[in-house]
Amino acid sequence: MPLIEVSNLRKEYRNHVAVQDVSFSVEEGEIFGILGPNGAGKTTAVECIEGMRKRDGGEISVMGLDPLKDKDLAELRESIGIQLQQSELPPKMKVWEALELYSTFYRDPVDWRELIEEWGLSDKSDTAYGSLSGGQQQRLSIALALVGKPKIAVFDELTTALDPHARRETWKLIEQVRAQDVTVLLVTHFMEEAERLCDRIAIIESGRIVALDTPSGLVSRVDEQQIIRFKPSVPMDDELLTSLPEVSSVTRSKSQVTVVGKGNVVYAVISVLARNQIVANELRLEQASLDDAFVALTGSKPAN
Amino acid sequence: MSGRTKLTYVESKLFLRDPTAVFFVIALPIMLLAIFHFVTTKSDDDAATKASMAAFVPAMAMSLCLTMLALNLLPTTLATYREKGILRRMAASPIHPGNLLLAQLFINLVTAAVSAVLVLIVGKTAFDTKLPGDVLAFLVSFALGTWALFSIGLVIAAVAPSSKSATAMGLSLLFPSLFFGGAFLPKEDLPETVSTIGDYTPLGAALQALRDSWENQWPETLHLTVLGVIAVAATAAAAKLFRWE
Repeated sequence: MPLIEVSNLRKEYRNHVAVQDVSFSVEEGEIFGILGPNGAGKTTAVECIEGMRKRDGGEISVMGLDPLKDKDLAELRESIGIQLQQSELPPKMKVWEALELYSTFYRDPVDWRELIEEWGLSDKSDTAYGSLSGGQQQRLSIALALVGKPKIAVFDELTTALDPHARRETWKLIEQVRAQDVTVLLVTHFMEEAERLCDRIAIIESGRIVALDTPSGLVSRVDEQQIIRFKPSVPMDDELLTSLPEVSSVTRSKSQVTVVGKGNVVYAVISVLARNQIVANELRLEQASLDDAFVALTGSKPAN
Repeated sequence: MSGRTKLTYVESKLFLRDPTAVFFVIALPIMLLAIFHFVTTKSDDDAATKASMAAFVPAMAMSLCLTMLALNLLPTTLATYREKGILRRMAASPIHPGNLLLAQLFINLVTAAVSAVLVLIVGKTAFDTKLPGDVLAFLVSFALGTWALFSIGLVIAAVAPSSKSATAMGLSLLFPSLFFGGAFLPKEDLPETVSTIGDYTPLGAALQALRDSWENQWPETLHLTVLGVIAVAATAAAAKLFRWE
């Protein structure tokens, strides 16, 4: 039985529909990614699952509990660890105080001293929240989400504010969470993050799921496309390439030519160039990535 | 320790780490007592005026601290907690964020009581002020005044969209209150219109009720009624209007 089941979820705000119709299920032990452009309804959808917002339609079951029912919600709070987008702690609260305090809120908490150690906060234990770096605040907020020994952890845009190095560090931490048998729901708008971490990804666009698959499954939907980039050794006419049936487009930026095509496009292009005695300098071949899948599926550019 | 007890304990520590809080509770009342002591002993007023000042100054210092806590410190803290998502973070745990509001309210009330006791003791021992003549009247006036002022602070916390606007709203109520309520100048020295308006303000009514208790008189029904009505109405409004995010 899936740990989380969502069917036909709908949520409206005063003047717009944030989530139109979203259905998916998450199995125990998965890292499930929710990916989509800004304003697609990702956060609203997970907040309905967490019970931080009340849904307007559809069904949600989290470990058999319905977050709309007060009694179920109280039970759910014990077993779901939530890291919220844009939520802080009082600036003068120290790291150990925050973890000790939050551990008293749960029936069966983990030892907060171990969490401090595990999340690399030992030398910052006596530092106030306001004096921590962004990465340290983020680690504290993950640790806080785990203090109640949750079955499910929800991370919303965990790495958005982080520099690339801290982002990579955080990815290791999320894998570490999963290694402890916690099911993870991850909201993100970074392709690379979703590709690296998630077992399955739901791509949400304008409040609907447009695709739901494994990262490689999503990529395979568009991977017949190949991209060739090179700098011709002598000036050449685009016509040479556009006339080939395998080529779908040719674009130029400065001296670089970018050819997009299908099938045997690489062989066709190279042969034409050879026949015309043009050498392809700095030749590069690109396979489709999750970025391309995202663009193809949502029709919009991913962030960054 | 249970979650709620621990929360109150940790919030108290945070409160004491903020120097402005300690200033309002300890430094401000003692400074007021000292300044007025200096002014009154130097002046060549008659004995009756001096006696009246000895009853006015502690009541004024006490109500001023109460007003600062209720209209400035409490609403700014609570609005900050909402603005920064601290209430929301707590809502994601098994403990309702209402407990955080209650802990803050409790801490501010204890602070108000501590500052009141400080005014009584330091005033009496160091600055020749009187103690309240009617203890019951004092307790009733203090309790009702505190409730009325704090519930207005809670309304500000409920409606202010940000911590900055909470501070601005608090201060824009504070200064007219001090003027109309007879804290800058005793009520009897104010023009009649101003003093009449002052009777209907929470600070004015609280200060007059406290002064009566110092003079061994039961406070005027008007003042107690004004405080009671404000307290009930503002508490209800705050509970209805409060937004968690």
